[in-house]
Parts: sequence; structure tokens; C-alpha cells
Amino acid sequence: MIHESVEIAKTAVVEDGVDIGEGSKIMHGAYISTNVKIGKNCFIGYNTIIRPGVVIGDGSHVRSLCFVAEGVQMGKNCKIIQLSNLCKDLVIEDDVFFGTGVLTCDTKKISHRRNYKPLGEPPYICRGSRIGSGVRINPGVKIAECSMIDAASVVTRDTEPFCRYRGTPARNLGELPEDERI
Amino acid sequence: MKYEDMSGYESVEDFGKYNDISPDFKHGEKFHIGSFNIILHDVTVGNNVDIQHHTLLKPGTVIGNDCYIDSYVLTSGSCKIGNNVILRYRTVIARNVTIEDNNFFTAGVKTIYLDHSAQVTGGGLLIKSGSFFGDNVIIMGGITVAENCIFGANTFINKDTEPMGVYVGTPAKRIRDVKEDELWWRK
Repeated sequence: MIHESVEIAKTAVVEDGVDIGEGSKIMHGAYISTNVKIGKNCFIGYNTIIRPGVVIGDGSHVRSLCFVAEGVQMGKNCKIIQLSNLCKDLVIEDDVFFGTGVLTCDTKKISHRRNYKPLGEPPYICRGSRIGSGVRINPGVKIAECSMIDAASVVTRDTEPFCRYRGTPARNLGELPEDERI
Repeated sequence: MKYEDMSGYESVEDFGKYNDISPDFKHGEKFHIGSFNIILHDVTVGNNVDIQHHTLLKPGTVIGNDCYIDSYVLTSGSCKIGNNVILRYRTVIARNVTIEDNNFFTAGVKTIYLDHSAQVTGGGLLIKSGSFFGDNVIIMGGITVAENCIFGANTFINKDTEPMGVYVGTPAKRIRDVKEDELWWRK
């Protein structure tokens, strides 16, 4: 069901079986595949691609040119900025921020033309964490509650809650001040 | 809506198809634009500019002469781009960014609106002339990038730089001086 108040641009493509809540906006050139659930007051940016089975919570923004793969579960009030790549079955809790061009990877072994089955190990992003521009998150990594990852880092291990990380590979720079926690 | 229904949507003669271009868009001579571009109001482009596909130019973008804008380039508005600037694909230009002449941005260079020192939004970024940026370089707001620098791939620039330096790493460190024959625009 698409709510009456939803604004869909002329050139956006919305397939069958899509639920879109009240007050959402779908911009020019967006492609929304089957069985996608989008909550209230969401924003889907220009030329963004959303694959089947994705759930996007109320008040979340997915900005221009993002790619959201199959089965991504996104919580409420998230903000995913331009050019980000969300891998298959990624789970994002509430109030998460992704900067420009964040890359998430979902498998440790590339199975192309090999005999073993591809093993999906998507990262897990906990509540309130903030990921800077151009960060790469390796498969199976858990980004803990309210973590802050600086721009251009590569996260290879699980992070600790309320800490700041930077570098390749990302290292702990200490705890965040009280006013940056939610 | 399916793609077949979209033919003729806002497409201008000699331009690509499926463009969504504001009527007040101004461009100079020898202008070329590909398909699936979105150009919002108040955008100006100079002479001899080539815009490829899937770009998004937001209000207040000013682009000079002899520029090349590759696919998937995004500008967030209120930004100035000088003459002979090359933006390769997936470059992001944030708000209040000024780019002077002869700059080369390779794939995935991102500028950020956030001012790193003050931790507030709104800091303008000034990129002076003649620099070369490698793949996936990330530049914080509120700083000045000096003339004729070279930045290696995946460098994170969070402070002002000195002219004629080669910078690499996260955050960026100066490793040596630039030699005269390494400047890309001298060729």
C-alpha cells in the first residue's frame, strides 16, 4: 500500500507489493523493487536503488545514488548519505548515521568460480553509531552502540561502545565525551 | 511507472535522454550532457563543458570553462568550480566549497561539509589551483588546500596543507616535495 500523501517523482520506478508510509518522498530516478517496506516521513534520494525485501524504518533518509541490497533491515531515524553501499542482510539499528560513500562488505571469501558456497557475513550496526565518509566495514564486524568511526578508516574488528576509532585498520582513540552520547 | 513510459521526459535536443533539467539552467558553447542527469534551479555552466550520466547538480552550483564532469558526480549546492577542472566518477562536492583552476579529482574524491576543528557545520572549503587528488581522498570542511599538491589514494585531509607537497595517509602527512614535471596541468 502506498499512502496518498507520498510524493513519487515522474521517473521513479516503484514495483508491485511496496508499502510506503505517510509523508514519504521518492525522488527522480529512484528504483524500488518488490516487497519493500518504507515507513513514515522517509526520503529516498535521486537514482537510489533499493532491492527486494528491504525494510526502512520511520523517518529514515536514504540519499542520492545509494545501493541497498536484498534483505537490509534499517531502524528508525537513520541517515544514509550519498553513494553508500549497504550489503545483503545488513542490520542497522535506530539513529545510525552513514557518511558519504560508506562501503559494507558481506563475505570473507570471494566464491567466484570456486566450489564452496558463498557465506554471507554482513556487519551489524548498533544504535546511535556514526560512520564517517569513505569508511569500509569488513564482513562480520559489529559496530557497537554509539561508536564514532572517523573518515577514510577501514574497520576490521568489532568496536567497543562509546569509543572513537580512526585509521587503517581502525584503532581506538578513547571514549567519547558525555554530550556526544545518546 | 516503467521505463517505456518515460521517453521524451524533459529531454532537450542534442542532449541525452531522461534528463530532469530546470528551465533556468545556463550553459555556454560546446556543451554536452549525457542521460539521466538531474540539474536543479540556479545552476550555471561555462563553455566547452562535458557532463556525463547520472549526475546531480543542486542549486547554486557554478562551473567554469573547459571542465569534465564524469558520471555519478554530486554537488550539494552553493559551490564554485573554476576552469579546467576534471571531476572523475563518484566525486562529491559539498556545500560552500570553492575549487580553483587546474584541479584533477580522480574517482571517489569526497568533500565534507562538517568543519573538523570547530565540529560545526557550515565551514567552507577552499581548494587552490593545480592539485591532483588520488582515489577516494576525503577532505574535511573549513580548511584550505594549498597550490600544486599531490594526494595519494585514500588520504584523509583534515588540516591545511602547504604548497607543492606530496601527502599520503590517514590523516594526511607530507612525505616529500612535488617536482616540477609531476604537475599534471603543465603537460
